[in-house]
Amino acid sequence: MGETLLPQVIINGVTLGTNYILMALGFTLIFGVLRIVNFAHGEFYMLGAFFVLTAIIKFEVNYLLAAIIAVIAIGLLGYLTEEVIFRRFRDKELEGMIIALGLSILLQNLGLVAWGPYDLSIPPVFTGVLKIGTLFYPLERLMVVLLSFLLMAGFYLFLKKTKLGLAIQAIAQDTEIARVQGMRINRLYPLAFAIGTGLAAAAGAVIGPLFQLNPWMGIMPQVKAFIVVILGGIGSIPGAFLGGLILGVAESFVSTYASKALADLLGFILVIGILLFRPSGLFGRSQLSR
Amino acid sequence: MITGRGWKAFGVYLLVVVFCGMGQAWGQDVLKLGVIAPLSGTGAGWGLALRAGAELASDDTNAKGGLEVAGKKYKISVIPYDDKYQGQAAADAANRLIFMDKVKFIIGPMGSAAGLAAQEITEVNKVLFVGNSFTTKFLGAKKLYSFRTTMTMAEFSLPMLKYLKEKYPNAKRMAILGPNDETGYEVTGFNLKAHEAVGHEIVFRDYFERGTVDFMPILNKVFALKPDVLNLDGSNPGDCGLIVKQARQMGYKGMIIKVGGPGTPEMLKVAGKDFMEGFIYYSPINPDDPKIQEITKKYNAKFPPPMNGFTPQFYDGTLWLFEAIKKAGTLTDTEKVKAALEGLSFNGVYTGAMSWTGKADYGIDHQVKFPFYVMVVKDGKEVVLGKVTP
Repeated sequence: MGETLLPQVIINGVTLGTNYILMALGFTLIFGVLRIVNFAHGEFYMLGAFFVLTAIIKFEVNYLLAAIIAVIAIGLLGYLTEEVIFRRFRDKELEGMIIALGLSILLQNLGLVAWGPYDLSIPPVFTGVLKIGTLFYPLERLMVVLLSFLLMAGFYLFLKKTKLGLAIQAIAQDTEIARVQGMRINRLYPLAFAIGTGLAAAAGAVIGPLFQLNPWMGIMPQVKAFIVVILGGIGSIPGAFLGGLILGVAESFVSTYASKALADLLGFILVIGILLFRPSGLFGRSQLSR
Repeated sequence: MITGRGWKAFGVYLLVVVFCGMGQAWGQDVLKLGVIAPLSGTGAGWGLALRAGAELASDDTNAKGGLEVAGKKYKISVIPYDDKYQGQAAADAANRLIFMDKVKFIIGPMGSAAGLAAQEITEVNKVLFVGNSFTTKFLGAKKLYSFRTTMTMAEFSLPMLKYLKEKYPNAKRMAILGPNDETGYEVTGFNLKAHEAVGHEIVFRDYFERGTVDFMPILNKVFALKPDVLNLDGSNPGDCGLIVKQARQMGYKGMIIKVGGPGTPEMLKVAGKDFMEGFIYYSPINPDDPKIQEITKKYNAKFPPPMNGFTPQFYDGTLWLFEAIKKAGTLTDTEKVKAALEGLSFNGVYTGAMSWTGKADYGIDHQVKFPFYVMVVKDGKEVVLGKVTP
């Protein structure tokens, strides 16, 4: 092992990081706006991936169309979930968290009934490996990174440049003032939840072809998203971006130069460190606009 | 305060319960068979294979009119509980089976932690526990009521690696990647000893959390050490499929083997046939055997495919237990059934001649032994490389 390994370690870390960021964006958005720690976020990710699989296998839809339909459908499901379930728990963090945990178990078991317990996989969308010197980079991973950056850029522009995005930031900063300004809170809350779950579905659709699908596939990404969000600062979009990259690259380094078991511990060590020395995370708290 | 309407509702409920109970009493007598297995979570593929084996064996016995014990035919009713591959859930399941369902015989579980936890309850209550738990601690001189009807690494690791050493003498540098839990440590322990015994050099070993999806960072490190062989150890099929896929994507051209629990059809689904080409693994069954195809058909008619290699083993293990119950002539005296099972060799429908061994390794002859297969994937199909008798 030596310096030839280093570029591969960094590339693997960035790939891992983009996966984490994609998961963390919707999670942090939902917390920033609704103050709900959505522990069912991983299950919306799972539903997104399974939706794509079903659309491709059963209805022979092409991957891109399947992914778009999955994002819209799961976004809609998120909208209804907020309207029917979370509406009563807005600004009630503890109750909302418990409901989210229950929803997570419910969705996992619905997944079990619908798709069974065995690992399934989405047919490969991009095949082949990019080889540069000693570096190996599967094209499907390159596409995941590119699609992830596109999604992140789109989400950032949506928040910064559209009226709806600005309105969502406004209610995240101060709901009462936003209400006084005439914003329709009862429309914006479910919409923010729908965008958050749509982002989780997008993550599932984009990352799904890389890994195996099963009803529990959302658990680990959910844990990682939680770590990333605490690291970056709950409710902070730039924080999620930086937190995801830090965690991905750090895990890649520790996995390669120390051990995988230690890499899995690393996220939790980082969280304990952050909570001890900078409890608000790297980018403060609930700062969607910054 | 219960109102008049409340009392009426209670009365109707009571009538329904009594009626249902009478229905059962008037019908055929029932032998309750408990099943503890991971029916959800990462070990579900194996757990469902266990349940399927027990249920198919029970279905076939019921189709013949039931199990004849002391001149009376009993219909077998399988009561399955999910242990989620966790110790606490397995202990809860054992408690429910023994104290609520009044079960005397349990098939399962799969995981080491689950097996050890449930065993704390079954042993004290003298309930026969016929399972697969991979840990060596599952069997012991003082664990009188626990039997294992599947083979573990202790039985097949060394014979399989000896076979591979003879067939591929130039494959010397080994990397081992296994799951970070009780099962993983046990499996790796046996594989390490066996690799060393046949003269392999271990260049790498590490553990990962089950459910990990991105193995590229760890594989990066593995391949920098230039191993001839990557042994996937006790990793579950989904994780193995991903490791194979990502290893081949990274340009690894060496051998990939699995000296651990079966699950190649599931791996093929995840990794695809191109990446799986040349994958070598342990299998308790030969999928081309017409008998195995027969049980595969039965399995596919009742459960979602693909069938895991554990199903025929648990089918035979369950029938073996039924034979012992029949021979003992009792459904309640587990001492007698235990003695009958200990003294019974069994010609398994699918796994062939099965006998008890284990005194030297575990201090008790409660471990099954039968010939197994070393298989290889060729063009997406499972092909027999050799048959090994341990």
